[in-house]
Amino acid sequence: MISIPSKVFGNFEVDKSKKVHFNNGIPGLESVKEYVFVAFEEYKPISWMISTIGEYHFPVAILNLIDPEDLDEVSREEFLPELRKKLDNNPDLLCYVIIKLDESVSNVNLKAPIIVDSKKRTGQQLMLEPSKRG
Amino acid sequence: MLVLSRKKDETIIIGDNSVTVKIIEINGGQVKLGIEAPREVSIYREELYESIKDENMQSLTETKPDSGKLPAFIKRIKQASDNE
Repeated sequence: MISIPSKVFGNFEVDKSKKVHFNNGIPGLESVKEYVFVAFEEYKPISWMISTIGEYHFPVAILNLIDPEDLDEVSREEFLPELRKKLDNNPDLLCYVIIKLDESVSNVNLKAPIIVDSKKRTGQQLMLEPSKRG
Repeated sequence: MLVLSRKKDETIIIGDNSVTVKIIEINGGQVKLGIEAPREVSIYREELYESIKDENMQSLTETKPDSGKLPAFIKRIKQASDNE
């Protein structure tokens, strides 16, 4: 178990297996490389991506739970098929979407999903845009 | 900052030859670059990186949120999973 001194939820313990290493951090928090993914009963189906130092908290939802109708048009038409292809090719990958906990938010965009390799316990935030890399 | 002058079809090498940047086309005020890099090296337009950075910062949660005031799509997911 590891102890997380969360500044939002207070101290809690999670199994080491919940820890995910982000080699490059995420944009804006490049030096923060260790996070845990936890689900508190009160907020389900939302999960939380929390830095192991307990400082940074992102509400996230597993992509599969999100109704495509709740995605914005670009996400639904372009990014969702691209992501599904990536996920279908590797069953170890989990895809989370960072969401905004604001009642006024009416849809979700997929341009920067969090991809977690559940076997290697590594993660990265993708940034999706049309690519011409050959 | 290192500043290098390059002409069309010339290349620069970054690091141990694993990343190369080639000038593909120069047209008016725009330069088209061809970048070769290992798959694990992420390449982004700066403006995209900055916009994701801003969105990440906006999503950071500083205080315990009210679970009764969630976006409607989250409530729908919750309702659907409760009904299963």
